[in-house]
Amino acid sequence: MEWIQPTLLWGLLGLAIPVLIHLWNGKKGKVIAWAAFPWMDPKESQSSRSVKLENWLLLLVRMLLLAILVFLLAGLIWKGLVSSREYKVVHLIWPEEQVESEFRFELEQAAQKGQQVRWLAAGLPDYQANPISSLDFSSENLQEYLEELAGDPDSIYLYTGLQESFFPKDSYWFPQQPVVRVAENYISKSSSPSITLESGEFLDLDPKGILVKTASKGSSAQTISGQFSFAFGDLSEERKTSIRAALDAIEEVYGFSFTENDLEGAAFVFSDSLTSNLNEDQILFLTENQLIENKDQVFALSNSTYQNWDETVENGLLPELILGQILTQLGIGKADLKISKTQLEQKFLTIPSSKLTRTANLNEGLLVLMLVLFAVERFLAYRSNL
Amino acid sequence: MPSNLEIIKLNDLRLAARLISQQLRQGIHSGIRVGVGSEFEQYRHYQPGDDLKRIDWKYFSRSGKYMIKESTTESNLQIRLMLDLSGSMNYVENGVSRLDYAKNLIASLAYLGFLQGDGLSYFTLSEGKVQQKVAPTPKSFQRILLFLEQAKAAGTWPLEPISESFFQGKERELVIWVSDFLQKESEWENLIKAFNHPRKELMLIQILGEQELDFKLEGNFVFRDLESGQEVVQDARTMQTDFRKRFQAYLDHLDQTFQAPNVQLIRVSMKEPLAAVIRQILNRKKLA
Repeated sequence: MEWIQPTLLWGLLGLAIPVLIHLWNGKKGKVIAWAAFPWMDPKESQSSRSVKLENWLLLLVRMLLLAILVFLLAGLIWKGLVSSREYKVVHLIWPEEQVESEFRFELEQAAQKGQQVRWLAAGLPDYQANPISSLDFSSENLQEYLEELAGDPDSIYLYTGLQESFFPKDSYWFPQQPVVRVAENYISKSSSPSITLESGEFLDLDPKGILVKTASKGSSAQTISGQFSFAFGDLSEERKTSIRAALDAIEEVYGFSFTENDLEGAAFVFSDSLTSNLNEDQILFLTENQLIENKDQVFALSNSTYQNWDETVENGLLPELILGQILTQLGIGKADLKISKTQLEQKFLTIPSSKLTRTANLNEGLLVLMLVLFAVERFLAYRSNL
Repeated sequence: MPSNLEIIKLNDLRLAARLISQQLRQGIHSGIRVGVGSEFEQYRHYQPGDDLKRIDWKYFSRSGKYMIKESTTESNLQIRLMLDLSGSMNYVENGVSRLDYAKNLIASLAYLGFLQGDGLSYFTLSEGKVQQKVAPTPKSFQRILLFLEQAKAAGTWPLEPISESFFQGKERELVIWVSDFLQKESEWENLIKAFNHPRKELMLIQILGEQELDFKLEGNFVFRDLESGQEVVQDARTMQTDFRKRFQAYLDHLDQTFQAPNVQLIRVSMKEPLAAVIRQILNRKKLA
């Protein structure tokens, strides 16, 4: 026997209610010396002993009724009924060609054993029935897929790579702690483009995620020109100077070349105020955040509350901020780093058993019992006219 | 005017009887009723219309005056006072027990009879028998008070029927029977037959409590029968209507049974002042 919500068993204290009512009712009244005795109700004037016995029976039935109500709410799970179920194993595969091919043998064996083998994608589609191309998957929605795991599996196997980008969030909730099978040979398809510089060199991300100058082009097929145009909007000369200095610093270190352009043709616009007529591929750098959140095209270089413009300039953060935003805009992110298996497993949390939507398997039986008891209670109560 | 409870708390039947009869005789000038009797009281002058037989001729021979000998009137009414001493008389309501109420009632009636010079006798009904306690003698009032003070109610109603010879006799007789008449199976008809006599009158004083007349208890009670000691736990509210119906039916039955020329049933609530009850009895009795 097991309870889904053992705390609700405190409700059993409610059993005291009928007892108290019984005691209250059974409280003997004042003794009255009565002369007109023969005119008392002969039906009710049965011996007090039998009255008591019947009331005890009624009391018992009522207490049982309450107890069953509490059991229903607390959710009684009868282990004897549960254990007859077969051991349930679920295999979840990261929908990636390399992962699937690495574990194909194990997965097919598992499927032959009748265990569930599912893609970790929308609706948890079956592994064998659905080709990998038909899956609807986004690593952002991973938790939603996991929540579709039904039927309280006894163990979960997760086949995946150790790429950090696979699991962007800090934690994932599983009904059971999953067994992680890592695709060792997974090679990240790095897609950061290379940047061609004026000097003929290339800027590439090395495996550690650091932008380095290389003489030859990297593995990526894409290349982007390292020449950018910028324009100033509404800005004081002082700030313009600071920005120019920052851009010069970037040029010097990384070899980008920045040219000032008019507002229309510039890729980056530095301004003091928000202008609405931005082209689609333009980026607006606000020198002073006017409490506007950073959006796709708008980026604040300083913040009035914790880092204002002067501090930014003084601390030399300006080049860093500008370059970071430019790189993000160009699609040069961090390399797809690997995390360790332990790190990955730390992200996986087990849902506490009390939060599980388990249904008590004895509910129907208890309901029937409750109905029967209710009928008995009504019958007894009616008969003893209570 | 003292209340019933105050009178009963006095615990002195003689005083109680005086108090009650005083209430009754308020405004009455207590003159002596004079008339024909055996004991001489006074002379008075002859007046035209007086019976010539009543002239004292010996006095005329001495003084030459026509004088008439007068004496206090003598009542030749016999009053039998009967008190029920069955257990149900111990019923108490608002501090007044039915027995005390009955005792004071009888004492007052006896006092009034004593003042009038009626012949008084006293009977009790207890342990299934009718017993004569006091015979009609000149001292009977004092003896009645004595026995009343000693009376204790216990046991059940007489099971053996009252013998018919008990009520035989030709003299004018008023029987006052004080009881609660809470006996379901009693042969009242025999009693009534015995009183089918022009010179006899039976007055049944039924003393009932407020709760018996109009049941208004609420809550859980243990009802203990005063006669058998049996106990029943009952919720007063649920049995209220049934009890009232049944009891009223019984009272109606009693009323019908006692519909006879010389029999009167006077139903009295223990709440009523004793003086009012006695006045009612005196007003309703037919024998002078």
